[in-house]
Parts: sequence; structure tokens; C-alpha cells
Amino acid sequence: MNQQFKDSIEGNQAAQLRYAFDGMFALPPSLASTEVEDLLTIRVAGDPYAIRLLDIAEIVTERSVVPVPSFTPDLLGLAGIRGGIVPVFSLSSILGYGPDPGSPRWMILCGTEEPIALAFSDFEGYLRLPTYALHADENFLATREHLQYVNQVASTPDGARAVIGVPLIMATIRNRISQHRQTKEN
Amino acid sequence: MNRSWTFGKKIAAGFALSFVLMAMIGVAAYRSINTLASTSQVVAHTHLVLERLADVLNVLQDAEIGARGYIITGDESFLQPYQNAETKIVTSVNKLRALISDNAAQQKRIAQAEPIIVAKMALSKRQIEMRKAREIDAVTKLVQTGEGQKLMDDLRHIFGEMEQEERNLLQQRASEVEAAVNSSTISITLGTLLCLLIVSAAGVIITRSLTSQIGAAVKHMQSSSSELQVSSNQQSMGSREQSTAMKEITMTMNELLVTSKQIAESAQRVAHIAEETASGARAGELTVTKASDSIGGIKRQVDLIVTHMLDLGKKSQQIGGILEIINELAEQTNILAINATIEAAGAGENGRRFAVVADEIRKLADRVGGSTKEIRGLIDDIRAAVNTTVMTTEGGTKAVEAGALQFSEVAIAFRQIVSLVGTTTEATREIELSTKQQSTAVSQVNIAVSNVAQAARETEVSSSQTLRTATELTKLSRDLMRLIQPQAST
Repeated sequence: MNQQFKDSIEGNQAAQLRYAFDGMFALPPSLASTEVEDLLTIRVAGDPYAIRLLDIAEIVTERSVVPVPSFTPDLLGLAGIRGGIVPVFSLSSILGYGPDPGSPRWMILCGTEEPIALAFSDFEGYLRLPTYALHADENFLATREHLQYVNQVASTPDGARAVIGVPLIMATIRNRISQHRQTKEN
Repeated sequence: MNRSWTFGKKIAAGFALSFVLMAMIGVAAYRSINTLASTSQVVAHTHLVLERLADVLNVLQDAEIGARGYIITGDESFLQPYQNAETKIVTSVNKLRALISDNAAQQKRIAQAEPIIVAKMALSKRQIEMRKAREIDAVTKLVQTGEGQKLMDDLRHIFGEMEQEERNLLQQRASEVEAAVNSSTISITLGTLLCLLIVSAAGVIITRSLTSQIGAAVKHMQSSSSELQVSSNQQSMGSREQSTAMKEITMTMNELLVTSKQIAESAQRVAHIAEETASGARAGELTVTKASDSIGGIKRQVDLIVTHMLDLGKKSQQIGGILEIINELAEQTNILAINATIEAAGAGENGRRFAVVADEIRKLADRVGGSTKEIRGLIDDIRAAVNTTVMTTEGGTKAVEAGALQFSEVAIAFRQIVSLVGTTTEATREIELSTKQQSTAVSQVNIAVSNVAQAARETEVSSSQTLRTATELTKLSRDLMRLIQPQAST
């Protein structure tokens, strides 16, 4: 594509989109997957957070959640995802913000065997950062609250975002469930 | 004394009082003089009676002396006194009787004396006749009888009584005269003194009253003349100012005259312009009628625009609905792309190329989402613009309706303008005529103002004269005051 064509599509968004979409097949792979980190950016109770894309199995939206009795208030209920019954937990409640004011629209599916879903209200988007942009910022972690499941901070163009440790949350939930089972068996 | 009396009345009253007192004194003096005159007359009468008594006696004595001389000498020349007495005695007695006719006692005495006189004269006549007859002895004897002497003594006695009576009367009348003189003297003296006293008192009272009143009047006149002086000064100044003002008025009237002529010329031009305005207004009325028809067409077009804009609003709403679907599709595409990325990452190196495609699809979905947001914004802007346009157009419709109404009103106004311009033309002609009349009137007023200015100058001169008069009046009143109250003027 020459400069004359670029000038002709200036202001025509549809043409620009088509040009970008067609152009991506002509480009070589940008970076090695080991040098970048894919993140989902969300907001919980208004606070910005990030989730590693590799920590989740899927992101779904607008699934009906059936409430069930539970020993923990973090469990919102059960939802059908990919042909299986998945327990849905409130991310807001787990992070210590309390229950969501409404029904959360977004869910991330975590783990492949006995998966669980974490529900939240605000999904912002997708973000690809270099690996070095994720680091452990002690000052940031010391000055913010609700960071018991956060061990890294992502430096984004919009500022620092706490990166939620999804495996840590899953381990905590499974630990809690096993403790509860043991308590019930005893 | 009554203060309301005039000076003439007071002075007349003073003179009247003096006149009355002097009249009283005069009456008293007149009466005294009358008394004195009557008394003097009576005294003179008494003296005349005494004289007549003496005359009768003298006549009788002359008769006796003549008779004796003749008897003694026989010379008839000695009879002359007797003959004179014979003729005079009756007259003398009659005169005496007439003089004492008012006195009964004396009449009685003269009545007693008269036969004696007759007897005496008869005796003397008989003696003379006897002497003529040379009967000397008989005559001597008759003389010697003393009859003649006796008759004379009787007569002297009666005449003595009469004289005494007259002298008594004389003394009595002398006393009366003295009393009358004394009375007159006293009354005249006392009356004069009283008159002097009263007249002096009246004079003092009148003088004081007049001095007081005249002094007050003079003081009043003094203050009035001072006020008149001040007023004259003010009047003089006022006249001067009036004269100046009249000059200014004259100048202003001249300017007004010029202005009136200009107004007349302007009125002519206005009449001409008004005629042109009337023709313009008629043309304007025609134009307005055409414009009103055009506005009707505009109104129909505007209604059509409103209908189209409402359709545009509905279409925009439909576009919004479609865009919502596109947005949802983009969102789902984004989710699918993310999930594809996750799956590609799970596939390892084999899923790398798929991951690239998934990433590009996600980017595309992101950009579609962004575009849908922008389109939504544009559609919202379009809808807002449509709403605004509809509202504006409706407002425009109303404005057009109002404009049409106003155009009809303007047409009516133009007709009124034509009518009013006609009236204006007539009024302008009247103004022109009136202005010409005004110019004439202003000229007359100018002449009148010149007369008034002349009168003001004369008033100024008169005021100066009045000022001088007032000054002289002040000086005169001061002199008069000095005359009336010397102590007040020092």
C-alpha cells in the first residue's frame, strides 16, 4: 500500500479497519510468547486490577447463576459452562470488598479439572505487556488494601494495576473446601 | 383725645374750644359793656336831669333877675332875661318832665313844682306889669311880702329833693357801674386766664398727639421711604436685567424667526418626502403582500422539513438499535478472540499462529467496539441535532406564522402609514402655513419686545428717579423728624 492510498482512506474508519485486518496476515509474528504477558484488565468495586490470561481457562459473559446454600458467602451459586456445572464465586467478596451490589455480568473460568468461576462486574479489556512490566512493588502493596491475593503489580500506560493471583485464590478456595469437608466428616 | 381724629379735626376742635371760650368771654364782656353802657346812659341821663334841673332853676333865676332889674330900674332892657325865661321855661320843664318820665317819684315832684313855677312866673309878670304901671309901692310891698322868695325856696326845696334823688340814683348807678366793671374785670380776667389755661392744655394735648402721630407717621414714612429706596434699587436692577433679557429675547426671537423660516422650508421638504413615503408605503404594502404569500410557501416547506427531520430521528433510532447489535457482536467477538488466545496459548507452539489470528480478531473487535462507540456518539449527536432542528424548525414554524401575522399587520400598518402620511402631508402643510403665520407673529412679538425693552429702559430711568425721590423723601422725613422730635434726630 502506498502513501497515496493511506491518504485516500484518511477519515474512513471502515476502510482503515479493513486495511488493518488485511495487513495483519502480512506481518511476521511480533514477539516471542515468553517475552510478553497477556492480561485482562478489570475493575472490582472501582479499583483497577489485572488478571494473567494464562491463569484462566475462559472468559464468559451473561450466564445465569443458580444460587445454592453454602457454608461460605463468597459462593454466588452454580452456572452451566461448557457442558459442566461450575461453582461461581464473587471476586469482590473474595478480595474483601463485600458482596456485589448487583448480579455480576462477567466470569472467568479457572482450572481445567474441577474448574471454578470468579464473577465480576466491570471488564475493561485486553492488555499485552512486556514481561518486565510485571514486578513485585512493595511500596504499592504496602499502601493499598484488599491485596491479600496480589503478588505482582503491572505498570500500564494508565498507571499501576494490581495483578490478581488466580492460582492463589483457587488454592485458598480448595483448601477451604477440603477443610470444610474434613470438618463435616469429623 | 380720640386718636382716630384727623389733624384738621383736632386743630378745629382746639380752635373751636378756644372760640367757645373766647365767645363766652366776649359774651361776658359784651354783657358787662352793655351793663356799663346802660348804666352810663342812665348816669348820663341822671346828669342830664341834673342839668335840666339846674337849667330850670337858672331860667327861673334869670326871670327873677330880669324882673328885679326892671322893677328896680324900670329899664325894659332888663326884661330881656325874663322874656327869654318866659319862652324857655315851658320847654325846659317839658324836657325835664320827659327826662324823668321813667321815675314816678320825680314825676310827682315835678308835678308839685310845676304850679310853683307857674306861680313864680305869674308873680314876676305881675310885678313887671305893676312896674310898668308905675305902681312902685305896690310892687315894693309885693316884693317885701317875700312870696317870690318863698316860691323860689319851695322850688329849690323840690328841686333839691329831685337833685338829691338824682344824685342818689347817680351814686347807686355809680356803684352798679363799679360792680359791673368789677364783674367784667373779674369775668374777663378769669375767663382769659381760664381760656389761656384750657387753650394751653388743648395746645399741649394737640401738640403731643400730633407730635406722636406725626412722629409715628414720619417714622413710618422714613421706613417706607427706605423700603421704597430698596425697592427702587431692586426695581432699577430688575429693569436693567429686564432690559438685558429683552435684548436676549430679541436676539432669540430673531433666531426663532430664522428657525421658523427653516421650519417652513423643512415642512415643504417633509411634505414632498411624505408624498414619496406614501408611494413607497403603497409599494411596501404590495411587497408585504407578496412576502406574506412567500412566507406561506416557506411555512409549507418548513412543515415538510419537520416531517423529514422526524423521519430522520426515527431512522437514527433504528441505526442505534442496529449499532447495539453490532456492539454486542464486537463484544462477543472480543470474548471469543480472548478465549481463542487462551486456547492458542494452551496449544503451545502449535497454536502460535492461531494466537496471532485470535489477537488480530480481538484487535479488530476492539476497534469495532470503539467504532460503534463513536458511531453511537455520532448518532446521539445526530439525534440531538435532529431534536434541536425539529424544535428549532417548530420554533421557525411558529416564527413564520408570527411573521405571516406580522406581515399582515405590517400590511395594515403600511395602509395606516399611507393614511397617516396623507395626514402628515396635510399636517406639514398646516405646519408650513402656521410657521409662516408664526414668522409674522414673531416679527410682531419682536416689535413688541422692542417696545417692552424701551419700556424697561424707561422703567429703569423712572426707577432711578424714584430712587432719587425716595432718597429725598428719606431726607425729608429725617428733617421732619428733626422738626418734630429734635432729641430723636440727634
